[in-house]
Amino acid sequence: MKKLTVLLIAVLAIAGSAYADTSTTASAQGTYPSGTSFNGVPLGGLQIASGVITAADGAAEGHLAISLIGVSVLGAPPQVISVEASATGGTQTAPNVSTISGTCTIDLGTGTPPLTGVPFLATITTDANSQGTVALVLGATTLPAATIGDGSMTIADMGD
Amino acid sequence: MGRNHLRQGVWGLALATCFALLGHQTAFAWDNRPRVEASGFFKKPDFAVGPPSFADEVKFGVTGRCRKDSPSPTTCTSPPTEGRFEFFNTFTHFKIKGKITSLDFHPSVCDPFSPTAPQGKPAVTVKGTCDDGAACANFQLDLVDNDPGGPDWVCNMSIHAVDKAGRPEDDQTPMDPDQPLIRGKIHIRNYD
Repeated sequence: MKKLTVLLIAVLAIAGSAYADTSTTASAQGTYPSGTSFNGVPLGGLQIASGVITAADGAAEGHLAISLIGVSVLGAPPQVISVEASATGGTQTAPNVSTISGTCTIDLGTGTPPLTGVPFLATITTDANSQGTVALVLGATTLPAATIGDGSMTIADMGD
Repeated sequence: MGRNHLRQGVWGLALATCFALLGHQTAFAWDNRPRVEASGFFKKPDFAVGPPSFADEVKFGVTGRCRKDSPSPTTCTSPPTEGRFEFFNTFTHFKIKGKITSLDFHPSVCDPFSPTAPQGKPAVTVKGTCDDGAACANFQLDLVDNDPGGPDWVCNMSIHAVDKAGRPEDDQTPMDPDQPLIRGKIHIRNYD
């Protein structure tokens, strides 16, 4: 009977922890390594806002608004590529790493119609200063991680 | 069959029932609590920015819901409140982050003199405290899900805080007008 009780408690504990949801919030900006480009546009930096809840079973809900900032040429305003991403999946591979997936709309900022239904993957990694890195995969393009230098990002259990 | 076998059989059946009920649903599928997930950019009037916009740009991210043991699913104040917020003014570099301490889901009540500010749409009043060394005397805003019909809005913002670098922010309602999001989305779920 004692063994059965221990087993039941263990199962209930595992079941309980399996439904601990994770919050990934961000309002930050950062820089890309030299030579980074998307769709032929050289990129200097990124701005990101995130409000996403991820469940332990891999489901996710929420939104990311991302601006990819082009490199300014001769003082002209930089091209800004707007990414609006809806989260449908996510995992927390480490306490400070949140991976969010779904589909997004990409507006290249050139007046052409936005690209819709583009798969995306965002890997947000936080450091001790609530900054860190943001790595994006947009469709077939894998961008190097942007290093966050201002603002903040937090990955935490919803109850924390 | 002995008594112990019977007992184990009952336990096994109970566990199997639990797995059958919960095993094929996502955590969100059976969770019908009202909740908010929001992120985006909005303008904040600031004469110091100069022409042409005379406005700062704010980035924000919010998650929030009342805990399952909250007496009300639509209104809660710490401790039965879950979620986080981030707030970053990219012009002044003022930034705060912290825990959501109060949620109140309600129909939106935005600036009555603004012809485009949404009224009666799903909204939530969010309050929070800073946890990064900043001094938050007050952090409060209404997030409005304006689907369908237009951009989502941030209304009745009231922030009185000094961030950890000593930068102040003092937005007192109704000094700052309500603002539509220029980017992003406010999702208010399970509340009409």
